[in-house]
Amino acid sequence: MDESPSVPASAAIEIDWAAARTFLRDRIRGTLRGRGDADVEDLTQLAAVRLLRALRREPARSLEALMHEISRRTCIDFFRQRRRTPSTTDIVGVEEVLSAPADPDSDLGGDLERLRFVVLEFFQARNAPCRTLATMYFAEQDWQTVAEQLNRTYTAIRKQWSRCVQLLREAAGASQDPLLAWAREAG
Amino acid sequence: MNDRGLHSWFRARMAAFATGLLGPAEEERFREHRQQCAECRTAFHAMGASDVSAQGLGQHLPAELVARWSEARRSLRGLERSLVRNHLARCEECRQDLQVLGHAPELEVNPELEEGFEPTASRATFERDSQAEELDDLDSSVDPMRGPSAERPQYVIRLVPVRPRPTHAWLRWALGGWAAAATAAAAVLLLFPGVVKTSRKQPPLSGGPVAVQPPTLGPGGSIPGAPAPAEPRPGQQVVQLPPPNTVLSGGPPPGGLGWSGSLPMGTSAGKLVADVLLEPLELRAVHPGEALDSIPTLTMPASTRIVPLHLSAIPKGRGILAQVLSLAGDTLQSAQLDPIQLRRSGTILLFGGGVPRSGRYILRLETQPGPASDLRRPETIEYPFRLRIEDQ
Repeated sequence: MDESPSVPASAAIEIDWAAARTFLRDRIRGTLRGRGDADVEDLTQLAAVRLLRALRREPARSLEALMHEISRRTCIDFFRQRRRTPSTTDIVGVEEVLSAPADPDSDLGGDLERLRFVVLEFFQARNAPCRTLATMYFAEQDWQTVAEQLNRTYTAIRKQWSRCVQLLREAAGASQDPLLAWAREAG
Repeated sequence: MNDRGLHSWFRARMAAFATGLLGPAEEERFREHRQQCAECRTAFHAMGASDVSAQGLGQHLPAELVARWSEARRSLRGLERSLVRNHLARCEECRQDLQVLGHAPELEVNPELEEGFEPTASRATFERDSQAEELDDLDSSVDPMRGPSAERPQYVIRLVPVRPRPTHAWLRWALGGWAAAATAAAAVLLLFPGVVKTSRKQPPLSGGPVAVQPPTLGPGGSIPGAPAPAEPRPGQQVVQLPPPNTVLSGGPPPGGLGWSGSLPMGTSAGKLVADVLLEPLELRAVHPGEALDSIPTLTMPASTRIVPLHLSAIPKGRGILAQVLSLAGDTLQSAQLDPIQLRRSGTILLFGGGVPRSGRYILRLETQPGPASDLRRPETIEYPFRLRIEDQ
């Protein structure tokens, strides 16, 4: 896990978060002209979290430039998510899927990032080898590469991972978590 | 299954597929539908691009979850809820994130939302709940990121930095010099504008090592066109450039080093006082036939010599040939990159030996054909970007 021990307070960075928030919100509002305040506020929150995490990774050479970039990217992600599903289609069934009521949890952010978190956290306490496999796969996105790094065969790695997934499926079966609905349903 | 069912089935499994959780049969079915349905394919690619750009590998609470914590703490359910709670109990960083946003750094136990409980109330019902409304009021009163700014005190937060993550290994390398590069987890492309110029129509380099041609070093290891070595100003770094005529291997050589290099007789590595861009320029992947809304632009002073580029996507395959192309299609530089290092760091460093030129460039990554048993097709991704050098 990447959780790090505390570092001396002398290494801390002082940020005026009221000013930072105002900066981020103004940038986002300027980019999202015509959008409602709710979107602007939501994205300001998200940009603030990203700013926190970026600053924690590395001190910024120019805080203003960093905030500008983060607000820009947050807006780009927002537009991309809105564009995920084209509004017009002639394929039977797609429109129905797109217009179906949203899942209650869908406002909580990207499913991919949430599912990655759930997988790693689930194996954190239950099965360290499975967690290692998951971590490597998330980084490589390729089981062949993972197998090579571990000096094992592709088949052996897939079998081991299949057993790991089975553990998760069993846990998901007792849970009503919408994020894990795929695991409860027969393929 | 009818069409509607198939699309729903696909959408419900996009994240599971990308996370490697589907079994072989489901995986095959998923790929088949993705190939056949353009709408679902678009949705899948959009999900990947957006979430990857957030650089989330699942080590911490997702940023969007933290940003929407008021909703999250009331609607997270089942296994995810208990895992979030466990994580918060031991992760100081995530607790700090919540505190900075004005939330209590914990997730309360709510029997109705815990594992194994069948919820009876929809979210809409929950939102009408008076208790929830009270919580909302409480949120806006304590949340420094919301509410009227006139009522908000000046918040000065002491942020505690942590050690760099692997994705920022390029920084260690850039600042640590060539020797440190041998073990750093970063992928590197050496760019020396105007030094190498070959036709794009030449067959791509593949298989064996690729020779990279840095500029010839002058007496004492100085580099023509570059500022003479001097004491660094604040904000500058002493950078040790790789040896000239370095030969880059197609992968890590035995011994686990990221690169192999050979130093011609009579030459030595050059040292240079240079500006190093600390924040990577984010490049968006463009697949063949696609177009970008806008091209990322990097404006930098002429003294900058190291430019980190963070890539939104990396092609999958055994070997990756990286090329920097001019807008006319000329290959300015090419190098065989270590795919493992590249996927891990997602970052390429461009080293400039001479003064770089303003203009539009294309970074092109191309996977190399694998053995006959590998059924994957070679993949090509391009990343257009514009370089704007100040004072040019």
